[in-house]
Amino acid sequence: MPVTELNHYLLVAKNLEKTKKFYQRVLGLKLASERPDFGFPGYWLKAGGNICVHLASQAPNRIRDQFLLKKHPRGTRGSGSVDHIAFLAKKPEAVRKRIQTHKVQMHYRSFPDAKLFQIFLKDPDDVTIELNFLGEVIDPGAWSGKGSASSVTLSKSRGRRTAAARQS
Amino acid sequence: MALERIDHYLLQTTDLAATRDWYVGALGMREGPHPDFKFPVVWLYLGDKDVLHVSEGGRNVSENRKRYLGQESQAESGSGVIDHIAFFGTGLKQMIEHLQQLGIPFQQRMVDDQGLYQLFLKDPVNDVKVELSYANAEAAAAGIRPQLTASELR
Repeated sequence: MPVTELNHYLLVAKNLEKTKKFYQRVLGLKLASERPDFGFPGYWLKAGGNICVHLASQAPNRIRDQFLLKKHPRGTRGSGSVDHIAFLAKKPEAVRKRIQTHKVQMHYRSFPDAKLFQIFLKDPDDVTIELNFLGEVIDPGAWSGKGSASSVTLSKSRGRRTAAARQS
Repeated sequence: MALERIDHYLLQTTDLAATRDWYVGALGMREGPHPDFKFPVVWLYLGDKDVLHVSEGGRNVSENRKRYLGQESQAESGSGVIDHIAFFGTGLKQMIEHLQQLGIPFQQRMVDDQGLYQLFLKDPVNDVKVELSYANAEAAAAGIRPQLTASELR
């Protein structure tokens, strides 16, 4: 199965340090040292050895907005501060075909150095989903199309109403 | 009281069937068994694991759902439709004592036929609802009782 497991969620926190402390002190999660320098402040937290919570800050940051593909206003509360839910996945070509079949808009991003390839898409309720293909280096030529080198739109149709949704 | 893994997330939607069809069609998830909560839910699986729970959302959710789960937002789009994120752990009794020591309010629920004991609490900084789920046997062994069980709903 191409999408294999739930991996993490990313929270854009009103107060980054306080939120980190909550996850550490209240829930007992451990701070992960593996977080790369993304160019914006944040933390990764582990439960049972697995990194499953990513934190970023609501403080205005252009690089963060580029990474998350959207602007994050201050003052978001509740589950609105969850930016995305991430899964692990395999077989990027098969996943791409499946998504395209359902005419869902997506973006992709490749981190060749880290051997990581990502696809971003929106579910029918406009929730951002991130698919992580670990160990995958993509031939950019084969995936190029419209948009920038790191992010490309493969279908112009909106994710909000998919073919599958219309059938129901 | 160690939390071992992220377990699932719950989406609330005004169109349960369309959401299910999308996750099945676009992401290849599989609809699978779920406990009887006395309100509509769909559980979606990757492999043998339920990773996404879908429930009714928006303005017209049932009283049973509100009683069991509350409702964090009536948002119909964007990440506001995520009601909560759940972790699975061991050490229920220690976690309850830990939360009580810290003065953090939480609610206790039990899903009878699934053997799950649940604590719901809020990340107070961001107001995000977090579920901590444990094997029911832990609660039984420690004599811990929930405020509400799914079977009490009608």
